[in-house]
Amino acid sequence: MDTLDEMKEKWAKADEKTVPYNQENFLRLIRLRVKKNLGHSMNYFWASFALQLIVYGFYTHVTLKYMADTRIVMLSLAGMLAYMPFTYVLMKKFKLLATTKPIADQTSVRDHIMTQKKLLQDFFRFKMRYEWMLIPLSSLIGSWLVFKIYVPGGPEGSAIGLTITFLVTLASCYLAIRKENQKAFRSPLKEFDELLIEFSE
Amino acid sequence: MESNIDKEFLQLINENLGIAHKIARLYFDDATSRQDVIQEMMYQLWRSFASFERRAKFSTWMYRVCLNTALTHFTKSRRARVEPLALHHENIADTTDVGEDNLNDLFNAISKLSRLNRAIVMLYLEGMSYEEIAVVTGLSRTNVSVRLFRIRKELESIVKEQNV
Repeated sequence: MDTLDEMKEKWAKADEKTVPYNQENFLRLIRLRVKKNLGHSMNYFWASFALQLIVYGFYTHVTLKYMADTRIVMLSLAGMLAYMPFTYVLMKKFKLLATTKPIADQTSVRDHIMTQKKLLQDFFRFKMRYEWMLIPLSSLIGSWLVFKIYVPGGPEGSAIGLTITFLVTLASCYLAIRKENQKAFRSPLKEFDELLIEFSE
Repeated sequence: MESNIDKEFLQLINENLGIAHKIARLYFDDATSRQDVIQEMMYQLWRSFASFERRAKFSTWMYRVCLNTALTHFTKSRRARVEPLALHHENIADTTDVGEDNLNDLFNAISKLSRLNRAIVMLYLEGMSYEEIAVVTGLSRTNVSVRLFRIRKELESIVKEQNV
């Protein structure tokens, strides 16, 4: 029967079949990796940034076009002002997550997992707060503005229509966000937790 | 980015390249994922080399960086957790001689352990002391010793099952 010490002999043989790197192919590997890792980060960044641009673009357009209507201008400005601090913090926190530092010399496996989990968790917590507060607010402002500008009778005349539009917008956002959160945050965080549980067993 | 890789770094990497391959083999079932994680390990080693303070052996440091990369890469890649069919296919293709056959059995047995226990047994097989394993993993020396006792039992039972 194999014991750990007998296994040591077999283990040493696993080293034999590796092809060494040279300057050229190692440099190529690093360039590929930089490109790939940057690509992953930028995909998320652009998706998030594009959404912010659409929101600001919409509010700016409405503000400029309906300058004379105080209620419309106030609501558009409120929408923009609500988004601004969140955009700033979101980008700042995202930068922290995307530009991970090199692994320090004395970092143990447990510390590294805890650090990675904390980074992801902090960003996710902020993102969740942001979504719970801003998505209903901006959906409400957006729906109200659409009814005010485009529907005869305005929001007051179509309360049921406005409510349905608001709820449909909210449900669409919820479904899209839930899928993204599950893939990018909940599943990795669950795996980090499982790993950390292994340490405490 | 620099246009040259530090010669000393490259030499040390090549001397210890087996570490990255062994870790990849223990944590990832398919060839594509293994290749991907080995590339990521090389990238992380290259990025982190400046912080290597030479208080420990290069191989110990490399184990630390590669394990950290493999364990967190695992969470990103979301591979299927257990794919015994894929593993068997790989074994059939690989087993061309008795030595390789033995090695596959060893890797298969270790792969059945939990992720942390895989790391511990790997460091032990590499010849590290309990203290060194404790430092790399972040566990206490006593915990390492207790775990290795349990791992020994678990591996014996896995090997017994493999031989039936």
